[in-house]
Amino acid sequence: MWFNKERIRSLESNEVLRLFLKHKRGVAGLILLSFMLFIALTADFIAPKRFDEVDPSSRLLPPSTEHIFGTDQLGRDIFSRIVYGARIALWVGLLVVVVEAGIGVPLGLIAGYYGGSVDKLISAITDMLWAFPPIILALAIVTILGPGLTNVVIAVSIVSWAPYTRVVRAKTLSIMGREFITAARAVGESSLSIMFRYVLPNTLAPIIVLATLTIPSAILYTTALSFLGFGAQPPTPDWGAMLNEGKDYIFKAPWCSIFPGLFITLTALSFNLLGDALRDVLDPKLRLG
Amino acid sequence: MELLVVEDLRKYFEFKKGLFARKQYVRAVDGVSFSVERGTTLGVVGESGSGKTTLGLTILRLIEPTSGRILFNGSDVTRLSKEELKHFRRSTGIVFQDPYSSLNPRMRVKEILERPLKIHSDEGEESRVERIIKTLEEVGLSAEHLMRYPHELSGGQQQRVAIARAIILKPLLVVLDEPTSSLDVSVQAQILNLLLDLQSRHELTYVFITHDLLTAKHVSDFIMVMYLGKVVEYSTVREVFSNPRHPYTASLLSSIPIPDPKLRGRKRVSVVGEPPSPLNPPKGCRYHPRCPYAIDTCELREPELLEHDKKHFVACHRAGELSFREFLADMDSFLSE
Repeated sequence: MWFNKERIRSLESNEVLRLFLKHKRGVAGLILLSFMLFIALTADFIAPKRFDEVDPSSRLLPPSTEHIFGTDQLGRDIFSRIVYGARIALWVGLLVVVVEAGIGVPLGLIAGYYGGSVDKLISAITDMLWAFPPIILALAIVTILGPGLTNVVIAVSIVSWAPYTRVVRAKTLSIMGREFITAARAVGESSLSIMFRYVLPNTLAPIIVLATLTIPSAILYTTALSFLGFGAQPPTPDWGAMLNEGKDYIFKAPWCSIFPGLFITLTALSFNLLGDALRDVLDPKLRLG
Repeated sequence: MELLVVEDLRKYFEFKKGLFARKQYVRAVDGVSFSVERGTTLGVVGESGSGKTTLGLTILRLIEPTSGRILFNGSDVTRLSKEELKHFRRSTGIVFQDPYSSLNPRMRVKEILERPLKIHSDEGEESRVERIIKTLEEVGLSAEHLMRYPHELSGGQQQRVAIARAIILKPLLVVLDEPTSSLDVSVQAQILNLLLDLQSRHELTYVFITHDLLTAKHVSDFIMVMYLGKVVEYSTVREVFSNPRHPYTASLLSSIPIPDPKLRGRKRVSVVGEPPSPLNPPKGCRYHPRCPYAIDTCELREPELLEHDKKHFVACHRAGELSFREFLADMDSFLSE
């Protein structure tokens, strides 16, 4: 017979990869993200200076061969700071999304699957959280926990898992009305199996889109907290903190804000491109042929 | 030997408009009793809103009944333990109207058919795949469809996969909820014949839910006509089609389109208006506002489902006096084909 175990395995696992590689924008996003990952991982080797090396004699110098991105108000090499800052940005973005999804997705599944009073309780908590201005709430939490990057990650995750719950709950509700859920119960599937085998895979596309949208905003929230003095403590080369410091010199030395801003944009863009591609590849209905 | 016995089954859906409104109930299934013999097909016929789909889901306990008993193989389905329920799931199957909606779009055919096997047996992958392919071949597909996603199949093929899922565990009872209604006419015939073929091969018992009388006639041994959650007539196919006793059944029969221009102006048993809201069903006989034969009694008293001839149950006060043979005489030649 033409089929065998190996063939089935390889069809199942390789197809996603093969389709992803055909997705041009997705590959572009992946390359961009790989570049960010590369500079983050090899920062110790490619940065010409240490990120906290102050040089009062070379303050606010424009880009040159010595300082390719110029220097800031304390004479620190901006390129070196950006390279080290990539570590913080990526780590924080990923961590926040993982924690958010880890809280929000199961709650959304449970609310949508069981409905009734379980749903009411979870939705009430979600709405309550939603009603708070996230930065204020995050500030309050960081104040309780104390400053530091880990605490900022916790604070940002706690204030912004609500969208995951909402999106997953809404999608779950619409999926629960489909007949394949009834059919699954008819063959004897357990609640847990229905949630994870039938509902969750069908909510994956919006979750991925949401994740790509929350990584940039997670980076921005942590940045804002850093600026307010709660997050990354100086001299940590947080991109957002650099952007905020640079804004005082925006006319005199625009490179102080342009380069951190550019890298924030590129990082956000890379996640968005990647997210779009993953959504296309993971949704069998959108596949062609 | 009766496989399925349903006694006085009721399913009321709670319905509340606004915070302070009184609770209302939709009586989707309201005191239905019937039995199905092993290896036979019961056709459940009625227009939309008659409760036939709710009935199908309730007898498989996919919806909890409000009251009543469902005896499957002698044990009461409404009070099964977890273990017994699992066994019951193994002995029953269901096929829905819309095949695309009834298949998980994220699962390949292989996985869709593998799930029941994984849940109910502990055989290895090799023998599972063998069994899946055997079942696929039985429903007219082949190993070539194994790794396909539902959206890569045609409607007819999707329905064949849904049927394969329903029969792969060799169940005793299969509920078919309008399995052909969303398919092309040519495919409908193939699917019906497949279902009949599978029934004779595996001694399956069917509860076949449909609004299409001709389909019901083609596959059923017995016909149960439902109206607003109640059974109005129950008998063998031959009896129901040749000698309907309830005006509603008669009107359904005479509304079957017959491809014969000479019969265009034939006399029909008429029916007036739309079915009333199941939230607020009419007093007395639920059919009386639409019935051209209604008398005063019909408004006051609800008729019981009584046996008029042998194995011919009718819920109508005038069942003894009304005859619809003259209306249907013209159709006889067509219907008896």
